Amino acid sequence: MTNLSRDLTTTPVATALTGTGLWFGYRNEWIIRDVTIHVAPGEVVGLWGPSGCGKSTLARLLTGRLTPAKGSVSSPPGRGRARSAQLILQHSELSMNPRWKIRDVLAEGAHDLRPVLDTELVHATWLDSFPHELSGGELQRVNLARALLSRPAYLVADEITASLDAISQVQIWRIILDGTTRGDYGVLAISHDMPLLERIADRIVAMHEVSQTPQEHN
Amino acid sequence: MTAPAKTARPRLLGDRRTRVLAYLVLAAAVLVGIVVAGTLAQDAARTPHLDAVNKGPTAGDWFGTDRLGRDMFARTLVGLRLSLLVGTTAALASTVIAIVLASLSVTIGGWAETAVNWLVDLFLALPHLVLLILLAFALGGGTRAVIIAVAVTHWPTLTRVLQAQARQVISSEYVATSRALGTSTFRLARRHLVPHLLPHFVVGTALMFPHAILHEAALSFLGLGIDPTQPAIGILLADSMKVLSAGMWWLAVLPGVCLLALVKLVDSIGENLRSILDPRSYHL
Repeated sequence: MTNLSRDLTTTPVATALTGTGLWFGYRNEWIIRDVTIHVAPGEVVGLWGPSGCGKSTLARLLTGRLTPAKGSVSSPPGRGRARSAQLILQHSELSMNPRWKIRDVLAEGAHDLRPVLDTELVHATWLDSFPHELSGGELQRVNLARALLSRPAYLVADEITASLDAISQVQIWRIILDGTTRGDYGVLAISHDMPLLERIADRIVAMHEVSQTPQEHN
Repeated sequence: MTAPAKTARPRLLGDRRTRVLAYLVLAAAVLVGIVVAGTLAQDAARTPHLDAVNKGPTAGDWFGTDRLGRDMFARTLVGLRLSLLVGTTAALASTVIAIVLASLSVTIGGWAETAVNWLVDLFLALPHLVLLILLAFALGGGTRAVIIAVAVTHWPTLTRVLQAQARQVISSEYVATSRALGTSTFRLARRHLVPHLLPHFVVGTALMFPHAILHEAALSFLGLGIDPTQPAIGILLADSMKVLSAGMWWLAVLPGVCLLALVKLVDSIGENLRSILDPRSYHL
């Protein structure tokens, strides 16, 4: 199958993940200044930027965890109550209730776990373990599996493999890119690791390019 | 990558859990024993034996007798039973106030949070015992007044703890993720919040209990609490003060030691519960 993302870039804007003229700041300091970003269905967009430039804040704005001070975010309607754009974070252990078994963690994505159990994402032996009993790479795969179970239209992956070993990194990105090749979802991959982004992304946006207002240095 | 064997738990943990549970069952049995014995000793505690007044402790009469020849062991048991009754009711009422205020402030936020914080600050700023005395006095004394006074003065610290814990859960990344995956607010509260707060609630109640008992004794000792004809520990201690200089040490020491032992017992129940329900904070 050819890369579907190329054919899908012309689909209506409503199915894309778009942030338009976003502003966000804490107290008096703007962190996000007039940022516009667009991810088409099935597309893998790499977002690169130095640390502290607001990449993670942008990820939270796009996934509805923060509300922009100005501007708007549009994404396709989610399945059921779940949001269509799911955020995955670097520290997977923080994304799971430490008192829950993996089985319950995954069930937050969908009650039927079979779609992920059949794949290389999750081992059935992990289901009765607690998050602290798994390694970082295993936990991040569980985290990804849970997001995929909710059948999102977009994954916003914020440095998800930054603290993992090379093998886990490759495994996780291979699984994610398999899905985008099938056209299941689009991905906004956030990283400060340019070589990684060059390998996985269809196009790369640098944070200072995204911002349309000249950045002030102080 | 194969999954490492995750089934083998460290055996020590299981042992500690069992030990703690065994201790808790034993301690609970002692408490039940005190209540039963206290109920059975009601008559003995009130019957004077004018032929045997001011007797020191002997092998047959462990705690001696008072100036009316009443059996001090029976009086102590009745006093401990009353302490337990007052302690349980006051501690439970206090935790209910704490959980209601904490959940209101966390779920509503804004003005509710400000109001609850203000109330907590207000109550924490006033000296504990002074407030307790004023309340007991204003309510006219008696067992009911003591229970209300102790309940009304003991909730602030637990409210703070529950508030902090609830806020920690609500603002956590896993709750945000769960919400994004479509979990309803009710389900979030039931599945993430309540199981997290429950141990703190149980332990908070158990640890508040000894406070309540001691304050009940203090109020009765000062003559502001329970009716002075009742054999409450505070009243036994207050009575014994008058005759302590005459060398009748057993009237003060033995009931006093029993009260301390009861407080220590309940406190250790609380601490042990904490060690199995909330191991992380226990080992801090």
